[in-house]
Amino acid sequence: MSAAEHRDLIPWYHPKKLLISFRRSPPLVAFALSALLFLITILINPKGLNNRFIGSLILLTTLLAISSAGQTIVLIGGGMDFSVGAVMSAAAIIATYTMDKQDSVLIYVQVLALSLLMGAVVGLLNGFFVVKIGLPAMIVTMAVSNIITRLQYVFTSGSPAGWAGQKFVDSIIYRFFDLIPSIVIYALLFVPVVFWILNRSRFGKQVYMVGNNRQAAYLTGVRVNWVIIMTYVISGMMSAFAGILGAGYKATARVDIFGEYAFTSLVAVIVGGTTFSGGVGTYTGTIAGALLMTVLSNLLTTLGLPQTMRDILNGVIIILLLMLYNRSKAVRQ
Amino acid sequence: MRKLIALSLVLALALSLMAVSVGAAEGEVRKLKLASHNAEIEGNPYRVRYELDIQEAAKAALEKGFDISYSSFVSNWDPATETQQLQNSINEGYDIILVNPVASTGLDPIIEKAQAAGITYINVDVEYLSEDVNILNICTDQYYLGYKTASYAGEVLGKGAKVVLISAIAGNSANDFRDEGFLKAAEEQGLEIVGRYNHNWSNTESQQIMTEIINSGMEYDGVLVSQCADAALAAFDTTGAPLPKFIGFGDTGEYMQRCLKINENETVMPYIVVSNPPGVGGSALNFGINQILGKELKDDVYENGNIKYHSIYLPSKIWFTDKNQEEYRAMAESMAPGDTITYWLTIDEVAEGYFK
Repeated sequence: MSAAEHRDLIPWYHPKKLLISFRRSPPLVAFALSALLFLITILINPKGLNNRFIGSLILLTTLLAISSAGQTIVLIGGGMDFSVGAVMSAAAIIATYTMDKQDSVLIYVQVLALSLLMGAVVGLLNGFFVVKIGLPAMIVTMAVSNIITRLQYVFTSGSPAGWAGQKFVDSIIYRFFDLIPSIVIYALLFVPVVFWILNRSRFGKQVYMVGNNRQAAYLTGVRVNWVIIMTYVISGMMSAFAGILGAGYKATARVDIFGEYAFTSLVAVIVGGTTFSGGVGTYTGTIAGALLMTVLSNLLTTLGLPQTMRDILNGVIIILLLMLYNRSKAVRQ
Repeated sequence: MRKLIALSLVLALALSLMAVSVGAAEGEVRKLKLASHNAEIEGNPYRVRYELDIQEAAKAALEKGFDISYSSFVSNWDPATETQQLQNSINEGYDIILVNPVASTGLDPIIEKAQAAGITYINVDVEYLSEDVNILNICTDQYYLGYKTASYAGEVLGKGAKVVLISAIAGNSANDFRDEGFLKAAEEQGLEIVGRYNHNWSNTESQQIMTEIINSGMEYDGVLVSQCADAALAAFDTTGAPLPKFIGFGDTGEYMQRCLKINENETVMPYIVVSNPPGVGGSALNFGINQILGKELKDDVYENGNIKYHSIYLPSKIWFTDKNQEEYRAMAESMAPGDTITYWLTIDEVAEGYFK
C-alpha cells in the first residue's frame, strides 16, 4: 500500500470525510459534544473538576440511561412511550412503601416482582391500545400515563408513605474509591441485557425490521403486532426497574416524582441518534445522549445564568443537536 | 276581660309559634354546593393536601349547620380548560367557587359571570392580580416565609456569609413575594447571594440543581431554598458533600425528619421549618361561609395584605428551628415524607379575626 493510499484510510487526513462519518454516527457526535461541554465546564470553573462532579455525572447519566432503555426499544420499533415517567414514579412508590426503611432479600424480591409486574401490565395496555385500537402511540401512552399518575394519587391519598431501606440507598449512592457510584453495578447487569435484546436476539432484529417497514416485516413472517406489544411491555418493565433505582437515589417517593423523565428520556434517546420514524438507533447512542444531557445541565448551572436563560439555552441547544444529525429518513412504506 | 284573655292567648300562641320557627331555623341544615378549581393536584403534595383540607373544612362546617357537597376540578395548568370548568360550575349552580388559578390574570369575564349569578367566588393561594374585578384573595403571607428564613440564616451565619438562593418558579406571584422576603432579609443581615437558581417546585429538579451547585465547587455557607428543601438536602447524601452551615425553608415530613436525624445529638446543621399551610383553601372556604352568613369584612383586613387586589395574607402560624426542634419532634415524626404541615382557620376563627 502506498503512503497516499494509507493516508486515505486515516480519517484525520480528510476533514470532510471525518465530518461525514461524524454525522453518520450520532453516538460519536453525542460523546464528542459531551467531552467538549465537559471541557468548557472545567475551563469556566476549574474547581468543578473533582471526584464529586465526576461521580455525580456517572450517577445521573446512569439513571437517565437506564430510564431511557425502554424508550429506545419502543422508538426503534416505530412507537413512542410517554408513560416512562409515570411507571418510574409508580415503581418508586411501590419500592419505598414496601421497604419502609427495611432491607432484606425477601423485600427486594417483593419490590422487584411487584414493580416489574406493574410495568409489564402498563406496557401491555399501551401496546394493546396502540396495536388493536390503532390509536397514535403518543396519545395512548400519554393517556395511560395520566391514568397511572391518577392511580398513584388514589392509592396513596396523594402522599406516599415509606422510605427506601438504607442498604438499598447505599447500593445506589455509595462511592467506590470516593468516585464511582455503586449504581454502576446495576448498570453492569442491565446494559448487557439491553444490548443483547437489541443486537443479538431474534426479537431485536424483528424490532428493527418492524420499525423500518412494517409491511415488509409482515411479509417476511414477523408477527408485527406481537413485536410492537412486546416493545411496550419491555419498556414498562425497564421503566419500573429504573423507578426502583430512582427510589434508592431519592430515598423517598412522591406521586409523579419522575414525571419529567417521560420527556428527558425521549430527548436522550433522540439526541443519541434514534429516529422518531423507527428502525434506526442504538443503545450506545442513548447512553451518549444521556451523558450529553447531564453534562449540558451541569454546564448551564456552572455558567450561573438566570433560570429563564438556562431554559432557553437548553431548548436551543437540544434543537440544534437534533438539526445537526437527526433527520427523519425517507419513507419507504 | 274575655277579650283580654283571648288577646293574651293569641299573643302567647303567636309568640310560641315564632319561638318554634326560630328554633327550627337554628337547627336547620343549609345545603351548599362547593366547587374547588385547581391548576394541578397529582404530583404536587401541597395541592393534594390543599384539597384534602378543603374537604375537611367542608365536613367541619356541618357543626355550624352547613351541609357542603364538594366537587374538585383540575385544569392541569391549561387556562382554556380552567375557564371551561369554571363556566360549567357557574351553569351547574354552585354556591361557592374556590379557585387556585393557573395564572394571576385572565379570568375577569368568568369572575364577573360568577358574581352576576350570585356565587361566592374566592381566589385562593396564587394571588389574582386584577383591579377590574372585586373578589377576595385569600393567600398565605409568602413574603414572611422568605423573610423569616433569610433572617434566621443571617442570625446563624453572620454578616458577610455566602448563600445560594434556589427559588421556585420565576414569575409565579407566591414565588416572587418569597424572593422579595429572601432578598430583603439577606440585605438586612449582610448575606451575600452567590448564585440564584430555580427548582420549579419539582423535587427532582431541586435535587439535580443542588447536586450541580455542589459539583461546581462554588463556595457558599448556606442554602436558601423556597420549599423542596428535602430534595436539596438529599443531594448532600448522594454526592457525599459536607452539609451546609444552614438550610431553609422546608415544611415536609421528609425535610423535618432528615433535619431531626442530622441534629439528633448536637446541632450539626442549623435549619428552619416554616409552614406554608395548604390549609389556606380550608380557611378560604370559611371566609366564604362567613360571607354567605351576611357578615362584612373588618375595615383593616387588608392592612397586612394588598388592598389593591383585595388580598388578605394569612400569617404562617407554625415555624421552628434546630433550637426548639424537640417541641415539634412528635409532629414531624408522625408525618409521611411527602406530608406538609397544615392547618386551617375555623369559621369562628375567621369570623373573629376578619369579620365585623
